[in-house]
Amino acid sequence: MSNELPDFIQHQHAFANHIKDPENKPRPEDVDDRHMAVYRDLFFKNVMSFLDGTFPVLAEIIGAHRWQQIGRDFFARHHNVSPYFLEISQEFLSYLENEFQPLDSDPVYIYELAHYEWLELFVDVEPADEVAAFDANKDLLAFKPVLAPVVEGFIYQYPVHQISTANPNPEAQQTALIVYRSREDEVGFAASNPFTMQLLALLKEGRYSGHQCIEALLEANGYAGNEAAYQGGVAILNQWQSLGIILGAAA
Amino acid sequence: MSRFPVKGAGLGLRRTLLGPLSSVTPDDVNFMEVAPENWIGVGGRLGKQFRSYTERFDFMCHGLSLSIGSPDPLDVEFVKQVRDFMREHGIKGYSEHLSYCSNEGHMYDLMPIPFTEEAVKYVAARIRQVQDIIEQPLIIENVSAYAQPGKQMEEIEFLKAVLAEADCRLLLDVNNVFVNSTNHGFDAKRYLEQVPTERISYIHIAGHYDEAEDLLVDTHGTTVKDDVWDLLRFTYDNHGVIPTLLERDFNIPSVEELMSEVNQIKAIQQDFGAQKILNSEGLGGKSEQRIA
Repeated sequence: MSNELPDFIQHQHAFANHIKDPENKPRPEDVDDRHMAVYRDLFFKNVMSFLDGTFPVLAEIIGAHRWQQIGRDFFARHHNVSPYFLEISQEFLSYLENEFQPLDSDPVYIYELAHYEWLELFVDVEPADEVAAFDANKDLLAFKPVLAPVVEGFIYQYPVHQISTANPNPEAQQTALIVYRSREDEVGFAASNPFTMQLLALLKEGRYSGHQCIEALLEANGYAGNEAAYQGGVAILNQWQSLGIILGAAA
Repeated sequence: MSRFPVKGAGLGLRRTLLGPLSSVTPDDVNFMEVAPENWIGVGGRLGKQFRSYTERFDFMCHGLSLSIGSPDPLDVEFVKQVRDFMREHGIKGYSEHLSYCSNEGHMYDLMPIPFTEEAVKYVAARIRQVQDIIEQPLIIENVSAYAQPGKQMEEIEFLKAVLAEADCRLLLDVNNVFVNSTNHGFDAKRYLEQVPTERISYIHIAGHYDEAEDLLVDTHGTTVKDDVWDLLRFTYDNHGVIPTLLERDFNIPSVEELMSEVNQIKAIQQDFGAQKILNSEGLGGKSEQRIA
């Protein structure tokens, strides 16, 4: 099969495959080791610099040796489809989800922690739609709340926002987090829960007043008409406005 | 109309330079350049800062991920995104490396295309495909290399053949010619003399790292070496004064230090500009006949 390929493409395959996986793919016959080493080092260091920059907590927790091993496996095995450097971290998430084979010694939350660290980068640079005109003093219940330029909510099985070298082995605990970019382009995180996550999803639709959103949420969860639950919803809206997740109501 | 998309002396814009360069004017830096891969789809504070630059300065796109010589299929959607990005920001031209950076997926750095006749045809056909999409000539750059796998012809022959076959333009990287002349043992001046003048759109100049006496690495991490400044003068002497951009990607120094190198480009351009006037008025010199 490979014999049918033009000579130069066979050379390209050999060259690239060795750079990706030097331990298992032989060095091209017409390139000496000293020159090949320049390529091996440049490529691997480049990829690792992107991973180090996006996943500093994960890198620190699993340690330099294992981190390099995982980086090497990612570079050797994963088919990167994105031409964009900022998306190398997404390619890495896709690798963790589909190709990564954890060791018994690896923390079980690797993917979730990586996702959480990636989210910070994503929210920072995600192009935002123009924010609708809003009035910060207008009643959130009577009118449609307007959200910050970028708001994303995720539910994790581990408290990923609390993991650090000081706390490397947290108990599993369902953890809902909202990550948002404020109007001043600062990235913020807020703890949430599955109920408020549903509220966020309703608000993101941008079609309902605060009152309608809370009513729909209560109804969907069997709390229709429950005044205490309703006031809980109102408190959440106010809290989100004070954080800058909600900017105000549609003008 | 000038055959050059930009004028004067330029500087590559990097993310870390967005703040430091904020008070620099188009008189200081006549044009800038960015990798579209680092800016397409970037919003937020970075996107806003970038927009403030493209509104003030003439820009070139200098791509990294086109992978024009790759065994993988050309990413047509990506090329369209670059085209749209250029339109959105009023960017003057699109340059890319005569190399490849993918093989069964992206690898995010540049590999040397084997210099063969078959590769010339293959690459030229892909360049023409890109030119059809962007509706303007692609500007290809001679790349630095540390190996020449599968080589069947000299680099300069390969470069000239691709330029002719694809009918595209050239970003002449003088530092890369110097690096390769050391790494592969050829005469940099003989190479530069053979470059077709009328195809050059602009020039790159940068610093490199001396890994060994016979092995230079194109790091863009130091100041430009004297040998490379000499080659820039040699290039102007042979091909006329051409817009020239300084690349600096690592160990980025203060704006003052960067500007002193940009100003050195300007000074050399002025020397040769004055010489050209002398030649055309008094002697009918060779640089005049090369101005398209």
